[in-house]
Amino acid sequence: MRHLYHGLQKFFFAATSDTWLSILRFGLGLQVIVYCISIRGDWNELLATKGSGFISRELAEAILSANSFLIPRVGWLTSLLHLLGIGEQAALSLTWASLLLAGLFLSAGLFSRVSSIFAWFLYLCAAKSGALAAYGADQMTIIGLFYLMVSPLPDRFSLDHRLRKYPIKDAWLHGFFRRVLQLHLCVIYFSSGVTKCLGVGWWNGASMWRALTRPPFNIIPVDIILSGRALLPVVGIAILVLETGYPLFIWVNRTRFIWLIAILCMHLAIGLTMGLYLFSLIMIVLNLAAFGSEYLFRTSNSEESVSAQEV
Amino acid sequence: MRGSFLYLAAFGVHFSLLVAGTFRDTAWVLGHGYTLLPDSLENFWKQTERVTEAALGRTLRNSNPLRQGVVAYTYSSGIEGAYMFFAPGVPSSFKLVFEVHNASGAVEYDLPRIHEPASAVRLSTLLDYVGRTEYAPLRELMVKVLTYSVWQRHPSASTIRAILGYIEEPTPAEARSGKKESYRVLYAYDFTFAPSTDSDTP
Repeated sequence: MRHLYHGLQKFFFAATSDTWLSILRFGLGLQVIVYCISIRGDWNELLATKGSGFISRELAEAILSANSFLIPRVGWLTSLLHLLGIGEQAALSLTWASLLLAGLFLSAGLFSRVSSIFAWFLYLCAAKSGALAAYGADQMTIIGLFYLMVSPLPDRFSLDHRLRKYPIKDAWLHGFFRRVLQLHLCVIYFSSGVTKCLGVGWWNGASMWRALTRPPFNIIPVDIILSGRALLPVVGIAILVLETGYPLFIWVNRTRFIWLIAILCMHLAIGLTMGLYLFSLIMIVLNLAAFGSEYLFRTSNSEESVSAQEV
Repeated sequence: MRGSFLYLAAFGVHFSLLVAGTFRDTAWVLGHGYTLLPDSLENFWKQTERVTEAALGRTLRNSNPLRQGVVAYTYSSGIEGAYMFFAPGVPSSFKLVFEVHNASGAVEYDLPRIHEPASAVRLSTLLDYVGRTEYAPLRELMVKVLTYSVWQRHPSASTIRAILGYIEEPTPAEARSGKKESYRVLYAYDFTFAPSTDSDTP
């Protein structure tokens, strides 16, 4: 039993540089900024109540309450601001501006902890109150912001550390939180990969065809896809291998770099060929933070190995 | 490493909820016969789903504080369910068309509108959600809410018919022979909104 506990400690608390957190913080800040800009024109309509909204926020929040009344939502914010005499439309605009500001502060690393809490809370409220129109990018961003909020901020590239001289936390603490993110990504890819494997369409190219021709992802003209239709099953199977094999090959030193590059290329391709820019960005950020910091920051590589030896 | 035990304990709880949520959603897909697995296993997957529901506190009464807390935590950390975008297969996309009938007898057609190109995927998700809702009154309510926003653009309309259907994509072979996508109607609803009262507003 003691042996197992030591093994767990060694696995979870291996000293790690804080560069992974720099990637996560900056990447999520960028994600929040892009999200805010991309949704600005529809923000109020997506989150307004009946009468002024595209889809009633009240309906989404009623469904949310059926699950738990403790889940954060935009209704809390608008009710609070209503007490201060601020109307719904103004409250929604204020929420949007606050989220954008939190994203800007996050990317700069200024007031990192407070910014990350605000970004997580506001994003969560928006995603859950607009849950009827939310998709994978929102879930992944919430996951990232949640981990960022509880992670040992600040990191070495943040203005909190550079200007305000806030110290960097223990390397073993960084190791722990990074490990949690790594394991979470493994669960995500494995479950997605296995479930795809059980669908016939990913083996014969039908799912690839549908993914590329289904509105609103039909960016590439059908003629071009048809000319390369022989490749569709190959690409489909490659995705199955990449996702299902992720929890194995991302841990093996010899295959980690190749697997990481392949996964990043897959997400880049999803963004370019299907227009899922937000989803691609968040997946690239999470992957780089979890497994890519050694390759992005060569200086930290040696530091990490030294720290690991010390432990 | 001060406090390492607490960190590990917290991780244990968090990861257990994550895995339970993932299992539940995966079991739901498997239990509904959407995969290559034999139908005879469906009961097993449905049982698995029920077990994971229990592990997530979903079998407790809705007012139970533990259930409320666990559900709120899983939603807040993004682990309320599995990530299965386009798994096990890519479903058809739904489409909602509004047939606006004016008092003069003229008929116009309209679609749900968005302002930002990035919102197209959100609209698609929303229509998919509406289309897959099995509980008819909820589906009708959602369509009514969407129709209400269209009525605001056409306040003189006497009736708006909302037609919900799905787009049937051609296969590669059909596309080569020139076949285009087709629209299959699933449900149609007629709504009348009175501008002077709130009784018909959703």
